[in-house]
Amino acid sequence: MSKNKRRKTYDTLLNGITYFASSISFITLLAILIFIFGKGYKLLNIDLIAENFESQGYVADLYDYARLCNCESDIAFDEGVYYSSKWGIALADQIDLLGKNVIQIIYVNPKSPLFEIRDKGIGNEPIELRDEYHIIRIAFDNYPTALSRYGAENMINYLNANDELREIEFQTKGGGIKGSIITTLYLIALTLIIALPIGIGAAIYLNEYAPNNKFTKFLRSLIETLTGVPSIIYGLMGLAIFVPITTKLTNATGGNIISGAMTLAVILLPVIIRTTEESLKVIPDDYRQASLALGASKTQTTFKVVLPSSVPGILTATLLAIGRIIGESAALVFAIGTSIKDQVSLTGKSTSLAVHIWAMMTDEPANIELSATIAIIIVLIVVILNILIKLISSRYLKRKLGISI
Amino acid sequence: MKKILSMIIMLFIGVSLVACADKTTTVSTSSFDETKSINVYTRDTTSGTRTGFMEGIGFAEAATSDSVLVDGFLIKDNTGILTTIAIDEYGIGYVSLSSVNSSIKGLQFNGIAPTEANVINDTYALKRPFMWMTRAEGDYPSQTVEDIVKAFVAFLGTTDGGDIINNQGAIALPSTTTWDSIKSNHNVCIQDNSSVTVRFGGSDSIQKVAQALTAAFMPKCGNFVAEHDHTGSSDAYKRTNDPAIKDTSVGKDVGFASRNFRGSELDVPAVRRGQLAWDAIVAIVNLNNPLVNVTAEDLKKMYNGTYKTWSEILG
Repeated sequence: MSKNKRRKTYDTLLNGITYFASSISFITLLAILIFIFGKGYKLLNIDLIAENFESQGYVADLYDYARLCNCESDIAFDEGVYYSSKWGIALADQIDLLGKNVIQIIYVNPKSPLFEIRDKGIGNEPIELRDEYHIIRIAFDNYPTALSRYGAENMINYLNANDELREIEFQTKGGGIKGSIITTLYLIALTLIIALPIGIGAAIYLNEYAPNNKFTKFLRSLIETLTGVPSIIYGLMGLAIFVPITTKLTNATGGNIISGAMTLAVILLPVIIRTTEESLKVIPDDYRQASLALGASKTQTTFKVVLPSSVPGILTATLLAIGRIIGESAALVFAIGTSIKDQVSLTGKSTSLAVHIWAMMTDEPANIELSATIAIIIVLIVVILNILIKLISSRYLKRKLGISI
Repeated sequence: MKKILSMIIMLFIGVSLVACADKTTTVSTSSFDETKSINVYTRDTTSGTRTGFMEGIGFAEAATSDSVLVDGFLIKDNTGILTTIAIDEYGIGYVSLSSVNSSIKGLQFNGIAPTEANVINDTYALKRPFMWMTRAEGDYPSQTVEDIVKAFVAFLGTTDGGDIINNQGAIALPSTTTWDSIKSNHNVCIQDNSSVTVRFGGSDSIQKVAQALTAAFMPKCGNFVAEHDHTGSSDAYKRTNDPAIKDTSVGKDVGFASRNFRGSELDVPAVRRGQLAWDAIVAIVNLNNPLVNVTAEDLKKMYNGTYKTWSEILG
């Protein structure tokens, strides 16, 4: 009886440990999600994805024919929006994507002298001042300059106190991640182009041709070891080998997308080889025997019978690889660099989404909001990829082997 | 399943309760209790303001190390320090002069009030200069780059450049020239320079100011492209003038430093280096705090833990 009781307590304890462990991991995951959504949802909008990172600055002044408009507006502005009827412009304080305080143009009256202004730079076209711009400063003759750091109300007061202005400086919003998204896409495409043929080739050799001897075993264990090597070591390798190679062969001057893709390809090789080999293994030997019996050669069998049947497995490997490319940051910091670019070129520096987060967090002050927003985008992509992998593998197993999971 | 769920919920409630625990607020009273201990607030070690402050009070080792500071100090960001000092009667912190507002009290340093005028007339001492340095003449990637750099340096001394510097919270040197009045001396700026890249580097504390300056100057000078890579004040000289480095891939056309040039850096002719702004830092306390003036020694003693309570500095 007492033995039974002890056993029961022991069982409960063990069960309790498993409950505890699973709830800890669940809570950790939940906490990460809550953190990034809580911090990042505010900035999640289409502007972020479509905008350039660098803002384009403009400097302009009034046309000679421009006259003060003194136009009352019948629009009811929200609180915090300041309207100057003298100049016909409404401004408000806002926080931009990079967490800076900016003065946002809310509305410009069509009769306002600021509706169409003269480019003082090299552009010849008139600039239409609209709500896609932030005002940096408005300078007057013999009057203090209205600066964006003193806020929208102050700027409107300064405007109201003057009848003319010397120049107005403004810029596009900036802070977007368009360049990083494009770089990530480039990296995915280029890495897969390099890694898939090599990885699939190696997997076919290991599974179909390699004799079952010590050397093959050694090769397998080497590949398995490579999976566990930290990616920052691959990054060092990229910096030491691929960056010099690409700078020799192309017009690149430092880290570039090609060297980054080569580094990622090396990181992904073990993953692709393993996954492809697994999918080759599950193809029934009957297929091979039947093909050989029909008079096909070994090569024909491999490439026309075995390989097509393993396509879903290779697709899984590809999706896993894409997930890894999106998430990789340590290796890319070395192999591409961390300068955020809008004009992405294969031989130039730029950042993937993960490295964009790295760059935002090393800024002073660290931009946690934008980082969390990018994290949401990355997590969403990874979740979608995972669902895709699940769908493909379950379909494949059902169709080919009649197993349902 | 039910068991797991209930456990998860319990754990979750536990975690959220722990998270709430550190939010205590101080009730403000009119009388200041001098026997209370000093609550020390600081920026984190990556902050340029912290470097400037610690070096300014003769406690340079605290610029990069938290371990030499008094036990129990609190790390906050710029706005965090301002809002906390506004409610914490027994706190001390420091912010850039540009952030000082009426919710807190900015302390005099060595008897001099922290005002922009006192910074410019060189009496307020808790400050650091922002300096620039360029490559040698004829040592640029092209003549266009050299001309743009010359125009940029001229722009730094105009009211338009000064506005941008002030807008970023630094204090520009006084000027009355406008860019409009000198731009005819710089013909390079009326052509299309959108294919020309000018490389800027040096101090990372100046990065924000430098980026704002180039962003403002780009449309004024043919939309040239500014490439910023800020790595530290000593690279201002190394990457523009050190023969071993200036021609490598990290070479720069203009370098910035957030301290005075020193040693071999001064061998660079004076026309190729200069000051663009001041950055002043102010020690701040709560409005109820009777303290008005501090010395560098006082601040060092508060930050390294020699002074534990307010009576030691007030008494």
